[in-house]
Amino acid sequence: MFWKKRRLKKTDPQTPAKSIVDLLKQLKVNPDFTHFHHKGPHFSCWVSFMQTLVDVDYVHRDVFPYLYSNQVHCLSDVQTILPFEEIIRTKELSVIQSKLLEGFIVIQESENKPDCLIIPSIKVQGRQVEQTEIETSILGSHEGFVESIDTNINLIRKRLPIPQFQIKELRVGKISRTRVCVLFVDGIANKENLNTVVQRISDLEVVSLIDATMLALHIGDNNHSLFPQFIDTERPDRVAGALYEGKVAVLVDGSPNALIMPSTIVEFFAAFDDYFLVWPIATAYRLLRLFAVAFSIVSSSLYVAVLTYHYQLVPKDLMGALIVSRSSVPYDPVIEVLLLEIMIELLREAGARLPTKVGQTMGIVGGIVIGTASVQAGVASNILLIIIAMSALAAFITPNYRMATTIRFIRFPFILFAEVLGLLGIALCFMLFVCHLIKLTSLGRPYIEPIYPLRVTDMQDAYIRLPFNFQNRRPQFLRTGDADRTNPQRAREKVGKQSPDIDE
Amino acid sequence: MRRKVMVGVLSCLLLAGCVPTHIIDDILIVEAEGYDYIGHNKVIGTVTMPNFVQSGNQGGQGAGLPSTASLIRSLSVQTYNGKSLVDRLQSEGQVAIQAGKIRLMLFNLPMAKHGLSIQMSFRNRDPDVPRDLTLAVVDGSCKKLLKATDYQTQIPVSRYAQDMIMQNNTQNYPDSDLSSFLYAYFGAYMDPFMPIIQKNGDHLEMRGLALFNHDKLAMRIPDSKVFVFKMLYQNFTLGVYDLEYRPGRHIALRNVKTSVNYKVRHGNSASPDIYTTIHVIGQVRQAYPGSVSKVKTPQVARIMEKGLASDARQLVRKIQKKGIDPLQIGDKVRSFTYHFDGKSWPERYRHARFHCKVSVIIQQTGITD
Amino acid sequence: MMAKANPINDTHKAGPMAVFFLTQTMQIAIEFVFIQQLVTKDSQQDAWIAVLLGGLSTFPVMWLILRLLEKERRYGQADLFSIQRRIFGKLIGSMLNLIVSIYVFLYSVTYLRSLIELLQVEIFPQLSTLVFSVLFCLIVWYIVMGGFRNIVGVSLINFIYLLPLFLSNVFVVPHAHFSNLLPIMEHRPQQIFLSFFMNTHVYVGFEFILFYYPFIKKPEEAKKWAYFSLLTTLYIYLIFIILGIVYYSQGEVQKTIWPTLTFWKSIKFPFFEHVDIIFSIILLWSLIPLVSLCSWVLTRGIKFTFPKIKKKYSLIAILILTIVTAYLIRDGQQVMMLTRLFNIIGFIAIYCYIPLLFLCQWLKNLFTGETA
Repeated sequence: MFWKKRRLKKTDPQTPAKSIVDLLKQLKVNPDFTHFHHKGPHFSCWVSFMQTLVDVDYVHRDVFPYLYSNQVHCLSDVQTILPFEEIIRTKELSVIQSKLLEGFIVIQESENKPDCLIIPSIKVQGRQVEQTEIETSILGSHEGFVESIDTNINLIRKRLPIPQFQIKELRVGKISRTRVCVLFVDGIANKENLNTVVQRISDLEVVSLIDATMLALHIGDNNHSLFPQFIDTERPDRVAGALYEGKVAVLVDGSPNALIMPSTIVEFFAAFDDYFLVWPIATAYRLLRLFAVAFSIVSSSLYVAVLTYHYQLVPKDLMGALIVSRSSVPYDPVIEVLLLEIMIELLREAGARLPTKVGQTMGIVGGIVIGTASVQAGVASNILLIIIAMSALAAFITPNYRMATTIRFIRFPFILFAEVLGLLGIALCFMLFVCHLIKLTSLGRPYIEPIYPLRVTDMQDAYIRLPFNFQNRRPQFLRTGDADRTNPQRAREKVGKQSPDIDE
Repeated sequence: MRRKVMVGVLSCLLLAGCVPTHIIDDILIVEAEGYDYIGHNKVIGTVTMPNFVQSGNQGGQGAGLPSTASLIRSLSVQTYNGKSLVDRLQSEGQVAIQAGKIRLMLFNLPMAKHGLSIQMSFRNRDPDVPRDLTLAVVDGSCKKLLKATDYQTQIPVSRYAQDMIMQNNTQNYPDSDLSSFLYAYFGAYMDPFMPIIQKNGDHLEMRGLALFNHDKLAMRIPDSKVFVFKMLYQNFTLGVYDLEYRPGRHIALRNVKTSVNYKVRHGNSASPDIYTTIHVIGQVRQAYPGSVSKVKTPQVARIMEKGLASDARQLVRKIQKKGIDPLQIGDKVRSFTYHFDGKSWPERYRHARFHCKVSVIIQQTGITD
Repeated sequence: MMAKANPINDTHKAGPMAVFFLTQTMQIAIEFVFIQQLVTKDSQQDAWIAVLLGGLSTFPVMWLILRLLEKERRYGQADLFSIQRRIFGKLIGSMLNLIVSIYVFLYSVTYLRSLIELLQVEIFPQLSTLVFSVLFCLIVWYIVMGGFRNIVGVSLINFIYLLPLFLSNVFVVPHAHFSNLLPIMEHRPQQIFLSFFMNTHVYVGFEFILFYYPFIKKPEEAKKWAYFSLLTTLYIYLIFIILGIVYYSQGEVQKTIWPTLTFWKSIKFPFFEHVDIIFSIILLWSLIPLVSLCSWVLTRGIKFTFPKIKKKYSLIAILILTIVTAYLIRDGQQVMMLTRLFNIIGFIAIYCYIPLLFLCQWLKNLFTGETA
């Protein structure tokens, strides 16, 4: 009884402040809220601000001197005299409240009157722009996003110095009212995509929004799908590239990630470095990555299937090696595989949680000591250890972290199916995933796009990367406002005639 | 709710759908089968399983039972012709016996004479059997050959024998795996053949070809004449030929490349004419001193042409007399003749006229003249 | 005049290329694994002529179908169910629709069951028909719930996955006896016609465009894809029949139930042996879009006849019926009988009924044109 009552009381939302007096009273509880009466010779007023949000030096240096000056007699005088570009004079309570909590200074003539002046004086605190940590690259820009949305927009705008680059600001979260910015290039980005994004974000009913990836989970097309539907990146250059391509980007205040949408599955396997390498090499690495992903998903389940059901598939010369390494293992292949897979997952999780330096030690301890020890103790076979280690390595090749986790996860259903029906089970499981991918959409656009619907022109930047002069059209997938990247005729003219013969 | 039902149905299915497992180290993988005929439709069957496990677990400590001890290597049983050996021996296996990797089938001479039709229909029906299974006739006892432990080599005898036969197939012996045997066995106007192997002391050796009349052994070709047979049977590139151009004087040819071409005239007459043109290109590796030079090489080649042509004619005459057709001449006549009269062919085959033209080019004579 | 069915939303339609992949899927299901035995029975080495003729004969039929559908577009929804109802009236039309539905149902069950038979022989002798068909139908359910575009997607993927199987032909070259193809044209026309009749059912399947035509965007462009698909099918079957003739002797090919599969047993890669197991599992792929499309057509048929029944419920009923029917077919003999039966039905459907329908439509249009 009491429990229930108490809980009910707690969940009861706090009554919103009805007047400025209520608001001030509510805020006064906080120790960092400063509210004092200023009494000057000509003018007296009430000043209130959140000490922790406001740049105090700045206030002392640039705001108060004007308040104390002789020219000020009333609030309008303050407004004219202060050398700021944006001073709001309002009576609206909601504006006052939100501005106050963002780090603005509020100046009132009398404590009880709602008429007040709001002066911006936000203290920007946070990391400096640093090197990217998750999506590292050897070539190209090393700047990464930080937690401040303004810095992030600055980083992107530097790369898009055009007036068509536009930002739509939205507020998300019933309580948090987090700033969310939708970035796009007007005239290139598809209007429908943009509207869908804005619609989905503004329709969101959440209490708070802490990170961009959380937003991605909320506005995805299928929230139960294992596959991430929007790319999250911490590279401003990648976002800029995507915007030029005609995509829409979303930034969330407080999150060092931008979301790029819509995206197809192959984009998750493309690193931004690919564009900095000559096309045959870039193509080779992309194919390598896709092969690695395929290997990572099916290798351990293939091991289970072949060793449990299809001994015929093993070539005769490998047979000996397999049997010798298996013969001292007391478990079925599936148990053995699960044991090692879970061990690798443990290592990965421990490595991610521990501080960097300890993490490295962890890797060595796990990889070398536990691996060899488990083989020597006879609970796992040598060959399996190689396979598992390779597949773990292959999973980390994926440039996108969320995709990498998906890939590491989906091998478990494969292993189970392989145990039940052998290769047939793998095929059925594979089918399920492929059918799921065919169904999946990203902002209503097909997720496995260059494959289905088959669009050959989009293949040039999917599994392979053709040279840039082939890529003079934007992807069909995005249905951009302007399909051509460059003016094809002018480009052709500039290349000039091809030489008619050798040495001519 | 619906989701829960789905999950339930799915897991039930997965559990019910389990099929028996064959875990790779918990089965006996048969690699060779041998059949010795002992009369009255009885055979002694022998199977061998390779034993991969060596000295145990490297660096492993303190396992109670020797889990890495070897499995049984061979089993042998007396049974009737036509019983699947794997099924018969199942009760004697330490763990389940599986025939999916079988690579060698051996028959002794009496078995081959008795006929292999039952065994072949077996092999053709079994989906587990690979098509590159090697077949061979054993001069002697299959059981002794498979069970002997006195070979020089340590690798299992099944592999040893198969490797040896495969190696010879690239050289002088014609291709004789299961698929080509069955091709000739089921095909009209053709008969199959197998190589003959023999255990000689501590090693195995090839002893020529066994030619079958449908499923029964009809005649043998000695090792020395196999080159001629292969030359008439198929094109090949890595032959080895030893030419005795004068008694006691030899020239050894390597990488002999031959190509054969058949033409048929009067295919439906009482005695069809079969024209064979054979081109042989060889490289000399060893020669009796003074036997090869720029002048002498063509002469030697002429001698070789004559010798090969007469050998070929002799061989064909022999098989014609026996009424068997391992060279698939009948099929060639068929392919050259519209409305080929197949019924009278066995009779006409005996009277077919065989014309053979061999041209030999000796290409290289080594680095000395 | 019939009430116009509610027009299909553009977002549910697929591009013209879909015709190519769907026709491929429906024509090349798993027949290329066993056509050699059926076709060479009567005309031995000349069987490839029969296959060639069979393939060529599909072109005029396709032309008829496309003309039929184009003409029909003026009168309402251009699919077979609507056409039959319009031409033959409600009662006879519904009867015919029922017969057509049975044909479609039989189509999916025959293929599903022959695939299960193949898997049981080749991979898991103990594989339960029931369990496998339930698992299979669950996937089919998942696809069909996504609608027509998903089926097209799956058939596209199927085409990609089947490519290595078609390319496996090159491995026959070292073992080929090309003289087996000689002498050419030895057999009498009757024998070749018998083979031609036997291979009808390998070509059957392209007529499904009668059902999904309204779901194709830009149907004019789809025409060329339809013909191109027929050409591809013809090419694939021709290659496979030649493979069967040159790899096997005549006596052997007629003893072998799945000649292509047996041929795969002789392919060896350094990484793995027994390619046939892997390839027969890939064959699974070709069945998924086939059964999906058939079930989709059936749901549409039911919806057309009984507009009250929702497609998602009828789909479940159809799949359960498929499972039960597949389960009732006991062994390989019955599968063979079903295939034979299906051959006759397919022959009638393609070469008799479609021209007849075309004629009826022409007469009906003539008649109504005069009276109107």
